Amino acid sequence: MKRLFRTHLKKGDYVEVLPLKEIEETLDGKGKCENLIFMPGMKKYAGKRHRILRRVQLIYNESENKMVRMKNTVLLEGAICDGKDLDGIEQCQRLCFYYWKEHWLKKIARD
Amino acid sequence: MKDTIGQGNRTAFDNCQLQYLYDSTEDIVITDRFKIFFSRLTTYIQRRVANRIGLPTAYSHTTSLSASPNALAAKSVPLQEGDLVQVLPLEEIQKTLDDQGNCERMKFLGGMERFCGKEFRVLREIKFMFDEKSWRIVRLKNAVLLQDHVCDSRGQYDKERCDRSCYYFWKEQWLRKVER
Repeated sequence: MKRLFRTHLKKGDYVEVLPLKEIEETLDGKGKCENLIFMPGMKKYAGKRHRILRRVQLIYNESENKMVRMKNTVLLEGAICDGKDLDGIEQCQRLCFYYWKEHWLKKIARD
Repeated sequence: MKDTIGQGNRTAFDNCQLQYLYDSTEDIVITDRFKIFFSRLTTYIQRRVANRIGLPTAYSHTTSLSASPNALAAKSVPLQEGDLVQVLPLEEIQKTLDDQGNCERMKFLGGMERFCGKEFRVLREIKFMFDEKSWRIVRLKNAVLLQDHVCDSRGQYDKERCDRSCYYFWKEQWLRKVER
């Protein structure tokens, strides 16, 4: 597995999603990077440019009703799960933002 | 190269990123507790001040505004993706709510009242969704998501500082279709 570095991305930063091959180098045998899974539906964003919507530091765990913290994770504007790439629950229409590890992204200058 | 993407311990019904999300989380630390505490305190003070000066808020369920046996009788207008809608004034929304602040069992959350009177496009009609609490797909009626319109946890007493940025769910009864 590739050695990981933090990139300290913040809201409004422009980033490019790494090519799939480079992302795969960050994943363990279960398809996870720091325990966050890279979903098949995220493949289509590889190589594309996006803006950071928000850094994810705290989230509410709905099933356990408590706040938990996340590290090195961001949301990207427009990178939303539309349910089409989910096996078995394709009909989910929640439109959740995908969670991205900073290690899957490269900061770029604003055009 | 071996394709490892999406190859976690998946079952047929186990393939949404939310289902794995909590594997990558950890317990909050003392600084997080302080941040959450101060956010809650701020929300609490805002609510008290709003109630004291009589401002209508999503969380003030006074007998005159909140509803009544007629609450669930509010009619919905079927909406489709791309429709332009206006969020009803808070007073009208509160007439659709029962004494728990729900309309057809969907809560009108603190923080949603700031969108009252504003116009938005319908992003999607929502009929099915994965529910993390029950861990299954559930069905919704008369609900839509609105474009550019995500929760920033403002005004939510128990979820302040949550960074999930979920789209708010809107009952069609809370929206008026705008014809142009």
